[in-house]
Amino acid sequence: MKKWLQEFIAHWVSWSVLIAGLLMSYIGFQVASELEVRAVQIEQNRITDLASNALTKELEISQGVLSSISGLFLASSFVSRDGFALFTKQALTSHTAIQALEWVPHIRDSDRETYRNRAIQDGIQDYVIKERNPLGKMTPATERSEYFPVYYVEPVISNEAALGFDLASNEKRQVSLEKARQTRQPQATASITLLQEKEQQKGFLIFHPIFKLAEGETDPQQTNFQGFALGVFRIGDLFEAAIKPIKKRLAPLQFEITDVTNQNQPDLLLRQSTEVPTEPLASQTWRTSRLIHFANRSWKLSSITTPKFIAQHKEKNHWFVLATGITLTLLLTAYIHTLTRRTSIISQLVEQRTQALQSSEQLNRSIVENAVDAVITIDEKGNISLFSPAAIKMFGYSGEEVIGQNVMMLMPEPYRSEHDGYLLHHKQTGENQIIGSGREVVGQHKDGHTFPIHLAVGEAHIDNKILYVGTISDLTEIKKNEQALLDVKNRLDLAARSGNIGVWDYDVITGELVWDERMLALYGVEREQFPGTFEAWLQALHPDDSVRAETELNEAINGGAPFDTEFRILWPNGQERHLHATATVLFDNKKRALRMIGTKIDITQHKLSEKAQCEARETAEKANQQKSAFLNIMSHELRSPLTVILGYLPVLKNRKQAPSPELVTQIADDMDSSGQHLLAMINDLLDISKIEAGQMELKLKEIRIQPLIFEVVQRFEHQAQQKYLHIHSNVEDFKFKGDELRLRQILINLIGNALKFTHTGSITVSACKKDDCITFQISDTGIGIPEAELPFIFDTFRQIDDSSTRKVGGSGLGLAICKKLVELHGGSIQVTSTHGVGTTFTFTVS
Amino acid sequence: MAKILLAEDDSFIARMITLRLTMRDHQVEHVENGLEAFKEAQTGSYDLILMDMHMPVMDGHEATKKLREKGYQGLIVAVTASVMSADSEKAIMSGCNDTLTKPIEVDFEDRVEALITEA
Repeated sequence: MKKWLQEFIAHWVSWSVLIAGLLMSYIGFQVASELEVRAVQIEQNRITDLASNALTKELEISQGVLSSISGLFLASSFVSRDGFALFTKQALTSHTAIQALEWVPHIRDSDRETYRNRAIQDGIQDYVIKERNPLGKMTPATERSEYFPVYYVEPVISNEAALGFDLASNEKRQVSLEKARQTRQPQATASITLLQEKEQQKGFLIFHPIFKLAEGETDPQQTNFQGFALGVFRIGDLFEAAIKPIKKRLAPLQFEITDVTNQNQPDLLLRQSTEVPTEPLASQTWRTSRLIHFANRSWKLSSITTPKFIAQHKEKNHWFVLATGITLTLLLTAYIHTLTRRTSIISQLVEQRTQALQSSEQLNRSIVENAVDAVITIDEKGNISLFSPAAIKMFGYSGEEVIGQNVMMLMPEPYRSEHDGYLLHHKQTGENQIIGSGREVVGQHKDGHTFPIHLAVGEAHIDNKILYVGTISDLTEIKKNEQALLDVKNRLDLAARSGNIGVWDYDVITGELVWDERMLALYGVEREQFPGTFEAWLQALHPDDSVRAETELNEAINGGAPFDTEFRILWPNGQERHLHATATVLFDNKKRALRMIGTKIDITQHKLSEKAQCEARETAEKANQQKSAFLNIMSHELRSPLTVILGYLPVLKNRKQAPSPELVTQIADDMDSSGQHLLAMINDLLDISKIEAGQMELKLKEIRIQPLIFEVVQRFEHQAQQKYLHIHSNVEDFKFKGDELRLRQILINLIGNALKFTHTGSITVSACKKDDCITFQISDTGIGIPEAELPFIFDTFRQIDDSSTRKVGGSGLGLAICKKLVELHGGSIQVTSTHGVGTTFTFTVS
Repeated sequence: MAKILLAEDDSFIARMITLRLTMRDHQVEHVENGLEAFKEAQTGSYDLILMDMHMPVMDGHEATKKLREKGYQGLIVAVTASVMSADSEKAIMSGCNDTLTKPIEVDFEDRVEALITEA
């Protein structure tokens, strides 16, 4: 509130101008309005005068007409009905304001019949003197001393109703009639309703009395009263006729005519709107009146303004005056207000600036005083002019001790001696060493100890003098931390070296790849062999792992997954190594990868031992499976011959039904075969067990190969002849050292197999010596071995078909035993076979 | 006297069983594998089929299954190795009515006859 008051006082000029301006605008508005209203009223008066004159004139003319009728009656001894009609015709034609003109004779009761008869003679058949009864109905007049009936009326048409009506029978008419007779002056009635009225107009009558001198008489007082010339008027029609020539000029005022003869009872005769009768009167209206006197009556003609009239005649300049006044006032006020404000703003600004300057100065001082870094200023000679509290703390000197002294005192040698020269050099050449930048130097404390500092010097020119501003930070702590950091780095380095951890740093943007020494060692490359690119890493990857490793790296760069993986690499010499790599990706604030820093360690040994373990486990599992399969098969194989032997025994033992001798022989043969088969199988099993247990020992001695093969072939001759097969042998004669029994076993097995699986063709056995190697070959033209089975044919318990071996005899262990025996001789055995064409076994011994 | 079909791939065993059953006046037909057994069973009317389970070409399990699928109603008895009880169960699952074990017992013929009578 107080502030508002201040403002108000401060702006009093503006306020005064505003109030005065508004006041003047209002006064101007009022005056303009007044003038305009007066102009309207003048116009209204003028038009009303016109109307009043016109009406007065019309009434005078009408009285003139009555006067002339009176003259007619005075000049004539007798005026006939036709004469009256002829005389009035002209007046009625030229004065439409007159409704009717009548002759109203004064009739004594004695003359009543005479007049009636005369009227009937004139052609008015039903003429009677009439009056209105109390019910308002026309009846023949009651008998009285005198009558004043309407006797002649023109025009007759539309006025027939009036004929015969005794005017003295009606009070209003009778009053005027009497007055006219008394005063001998024309007399108008108050407003009446005409007998012949069909509309709602009010009407009035003017009685013009006619007095006639008797013949020979000269005294004007001695006259005989004859009757009245009567004018009948409808007020509306009268006024219309009166104003007809000037009607256009009256519009659009509204007129009223009031009978004011009796001041106490004004009687409204007519209210007429000249133009728009239904338009309501505006709230702002003006009324003006004129009095008209005629035939002993006083009328008042009033005119009332309508909005339309005002609109036509009243100017709107007063609003313009108001608007202009207000606008000018506002503009002037605004202008003055702006001027005032500007002055106030300027003074405020001056105050603010002064304050800001003060606080800025304060700020500068407090910056210098509170700065953690020491601030020292020197002049161009090197003398100290300012020594901040931090400097006092840092160097141990008080302000008094150093101000005015040369700054050299704060420096140890050699900086102390060099300083003057440096300052001079700078002044002469403008070359900068510290000025404008900063560097690390050494400071000297008051107590003499030195400490590392960072010195930055700025140059200022104040009042043509040079001022050097030095900012000094104590680096003692920082240096200590740096050393600690270095120690940590060295320790980490040592750890990485002893853990054989390689560290790499990949710049994602440039593709540059940095490896430390151990990385190079991990990849088996020299520093100069490594180009330091991402591609170099890709190329070193094992082909089977490169796609995966690169994908994982890209996922890490795209922020999808951490990089922690294992992959194989190939050294330049082809050696395969397993590496475990981890990395951290550094992103910018838009999540774009910038760098990747990671480590790698060699996990080859770990991988190899893992693989070895896995393989050992698989082998053991496989051996186990084979063992149980073997047991399954052998139990079946051993059981079959036993079934035969045991199955025949009840037959042999049966005493009640002894078999025939022939049958016994057959049974014995079967039992023998079965027994032999069982024995062979048990022998094979024993052999394989011995070999697998490492208990088989070869009894080596000189063997002549030719006789050995012949002997074995001899064995199968009989069997071959039965199948119509031929066994060829193609053997050189030579000797070698081996176990004859086992060699024979091999040959029997292979030739026996060939014979079993061959149904047509031949079998060929060959042996040859080349250097110290003897090669044996047994080929047949038999059914062959399916290709899929070839790799497994020497496996211990593998059989092409569980039952096929039984069909052809044998344990199914033969080839496995052969292979092991050959290997015991330091040789190897191979097989080639085409299904349906034949098989060839080749083995060597040395 | 019954008509018996013997499916057995080991000829020695087949000869032995045939002899023993013939000595009891039974008529024995021998086939070497399941496929032959499947064909023969449908052509001749046998009182009993003795079916070895391990045979080449088509084994006893499959032959039995196929016969049962074909609507064969006759008696089929599996001859299995006694040590493999799982084999006996599998034979029953395949559709065999009963099992006999190898090596065959002294009263093998009696048991065969009992099975035929029961059926």
